[in-house]
Amino acid sequence: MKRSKKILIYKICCVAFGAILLFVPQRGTPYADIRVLATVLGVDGTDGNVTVSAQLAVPVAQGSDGKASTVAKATGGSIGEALENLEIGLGRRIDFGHLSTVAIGQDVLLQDLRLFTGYLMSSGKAGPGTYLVHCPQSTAADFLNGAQDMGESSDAELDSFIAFSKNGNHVSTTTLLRFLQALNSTSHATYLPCVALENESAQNSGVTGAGEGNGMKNEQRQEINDRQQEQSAEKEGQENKQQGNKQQDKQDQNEKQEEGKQQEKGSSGGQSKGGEKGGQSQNDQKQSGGQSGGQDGHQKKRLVAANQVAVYGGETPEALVLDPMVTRGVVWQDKHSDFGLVELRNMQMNGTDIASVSARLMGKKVRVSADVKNGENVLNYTIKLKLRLDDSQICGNPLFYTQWKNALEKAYESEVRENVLRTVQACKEHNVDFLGFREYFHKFSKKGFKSFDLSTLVVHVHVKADIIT
Amino acid sequence: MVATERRISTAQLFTVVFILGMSLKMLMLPVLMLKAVGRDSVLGMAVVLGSEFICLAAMIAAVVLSPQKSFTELLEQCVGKIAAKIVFCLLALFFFCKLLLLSGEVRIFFSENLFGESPWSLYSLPFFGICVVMGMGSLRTLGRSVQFLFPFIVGATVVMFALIGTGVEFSEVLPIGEFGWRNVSRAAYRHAMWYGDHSVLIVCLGAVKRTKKTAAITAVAGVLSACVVLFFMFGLTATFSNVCYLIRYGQNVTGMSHYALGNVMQGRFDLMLFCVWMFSVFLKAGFFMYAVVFFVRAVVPVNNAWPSLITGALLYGITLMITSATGLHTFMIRYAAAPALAFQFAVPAVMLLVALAGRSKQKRKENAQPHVAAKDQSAPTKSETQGANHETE
Repeated sequence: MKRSKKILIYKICCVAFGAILLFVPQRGTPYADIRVLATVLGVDGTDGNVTVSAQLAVPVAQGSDGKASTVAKATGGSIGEALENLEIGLGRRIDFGHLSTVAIGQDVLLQDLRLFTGYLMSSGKAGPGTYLVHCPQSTAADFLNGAQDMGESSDAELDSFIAFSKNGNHVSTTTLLRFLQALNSTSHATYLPCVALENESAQNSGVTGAGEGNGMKNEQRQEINDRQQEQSAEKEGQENKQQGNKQQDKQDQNEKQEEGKQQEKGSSGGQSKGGEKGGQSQNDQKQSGGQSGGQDGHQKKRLVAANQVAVYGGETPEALVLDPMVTRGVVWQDKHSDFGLVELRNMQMNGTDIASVSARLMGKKVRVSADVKNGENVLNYTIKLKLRLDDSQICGNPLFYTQWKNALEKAYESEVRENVLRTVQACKEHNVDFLGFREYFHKFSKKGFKSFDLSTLVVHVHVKADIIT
Repeated sequence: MVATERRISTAQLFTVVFILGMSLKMLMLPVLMLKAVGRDSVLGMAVVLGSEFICLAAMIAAVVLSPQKSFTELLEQCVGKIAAKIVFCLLALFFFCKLLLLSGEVRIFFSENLFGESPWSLYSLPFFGICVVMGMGSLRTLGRSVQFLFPFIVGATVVMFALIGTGVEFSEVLPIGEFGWRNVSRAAYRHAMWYGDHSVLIVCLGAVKRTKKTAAITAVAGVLSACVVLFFMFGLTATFSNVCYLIRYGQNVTGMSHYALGNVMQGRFDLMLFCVWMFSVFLKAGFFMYAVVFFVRAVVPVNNAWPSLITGALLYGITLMITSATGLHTFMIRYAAAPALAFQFAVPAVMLLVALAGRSKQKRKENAQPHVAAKDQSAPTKSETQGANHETE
């Protein structure tokens, strides 16, 4: 073929391809009109009656004070159906590509959680790196609704907080993949970090005086949220009356769709049919605000993240929420949480009482070895810490190294060791292998794996803390 | 004899071997193996790569020892034209099936990760267009294209693997050996169509500018690509070891690097990397197309544009008829495993035998030629004799 002919063919191909790209149907509708982005997903209920709620990103003008997200909720017989109903209700396709967190409600049982998470991962709706959190005090839907009132900034979203928890705090986080990997391991148990919301103190709402305009917007938002909650409660009541009636579900979805549209338009809640109720709840809020001394009548929420973990596995299908002291050990043995502030309180050192010493964890290495010694299964934790003291007063002492460093390192080592051993003890007491001991033996010691018994397991913890300046 | 200006250099051969060894085995094969034999898929992949390296060694030997003639010429000399044409037909069919499988893999990847709601009939057009254009070109053009894109592909691979290396807990690969060698080798056999890609080097026979280091450099390329594939297999197995039943076909290297990047916190940087890496798959598809055209033209001597266009159209038509993206997998596993395995070993063996036969024939010729030349030099020519006689007279 001649060169000129070849070039002609290439040109024709390029023009044809360009024409195809230009006229494909998707280009006709703007992306934002056919899709919404889900950033956080909440799951409640059991298989047969699943409720999903999603925090959806809403496009807002740059520099505006409008909330950049809204929450929508739907129910269904399965999680797949519930998600489908959510899309029907919104009238848009939900894009899960930016889903960062899945919140699990307090009543979700182990077998249901296995189903839900398995579905989310195998359907590709949630990526393997999606964070999983447990809501020990509420349903996931309530948690997401509450999270709408979190933070001062309009774009302070839940996913940002959890991402920061992972990267900047010394707390335990779990991804969808890690959770399922552990649950499907020979240990058949794992843990999820707990998150909860609490009302910020009255000082915050009273002192700031963030401006009338801002306050009004917050009120409106609260009004909408309250109305939404009340309506969803009403709907749930109706649903209970008419169990399995899918037509009712669709009607609910349509109502929600209307609400969603109203929220996006930024219209006040009073114009909607639920305006009276909204007003009432607003008054309630104002009363409580007044009682707490607030001026704008709005109670902001604050995230209380991950000082507890919920354990799934073992013989009981319900989640077992560990207390904060036991949770500390869980965090110390977690290889993935290697940053954040760690603190020693009420200690005595070289004859001096110290109220608190805080240090920043700069790095952590956790090595685990499993072996059989004298017929006993022995598991060794070796934890190496790099700490940098936050308190410059202690560091400022020129005799710091000789007087304090070794003592502080030993104190940290002892504290970490005690924390981990306390957690191991809790593991044995509850007879749930949520730290994955059995799996370690499965990997590294076949002999130990065959004779594994959690109650007779011997655990040694070696800690080496190194304070750097 | 292949003209010197149409031969590829040793550097180009290095890049070609690296890309051929890597691309198809890193799309869906690891996922399929993982689903079949769990953690032991690492062993299965090691078996596959070992057998592939043996084939590559035979091919390198053939390239180095061949008398710089093409495979078609050498085979025709050895077995005659008719038998050779039958072999060419089989080879064309084999590489067509490889190309079909590769197009299926590309389809799954793009439908799962990028164009979930767009029809394959639309976004596959550029892919087949590239294949057709590459089929029309010469081997040297292909070699130069590979050489040009090689740094980008290697760069993307290195960055992706750095991410995977830092974000994956490799101890999750343990314990290995739970399924047993029997199941592992069965899984490796079933997926025979996915490997043996070095067999396409058959078109390079006699078309390489050889140096002293050609064999060593090509072997290094083979080892490097095998290491890349094995590392990837380790990473994938470690990531999804206990949940391999949940894994999706499209969730391969991009899923892992996405996970290692911290999910959505860093955006979909992984997809950009993977799209650069995908050049290696397109180049490989181009090589398969070139091989199909090469053997079709050996059977029917026509201009290289028509076989390329017809093959591209045929391929496009077949892929449109296959409604399920994974249906092709099922077909290849059920019906193509045995022939693919046979071809995988037969192609290098035939290539080596043909090269050796051609070499010995050429040596015999060379040995005979100096003898004749010497005879000619010592014996005076007829005209000289006549001239001498004339002078004597």
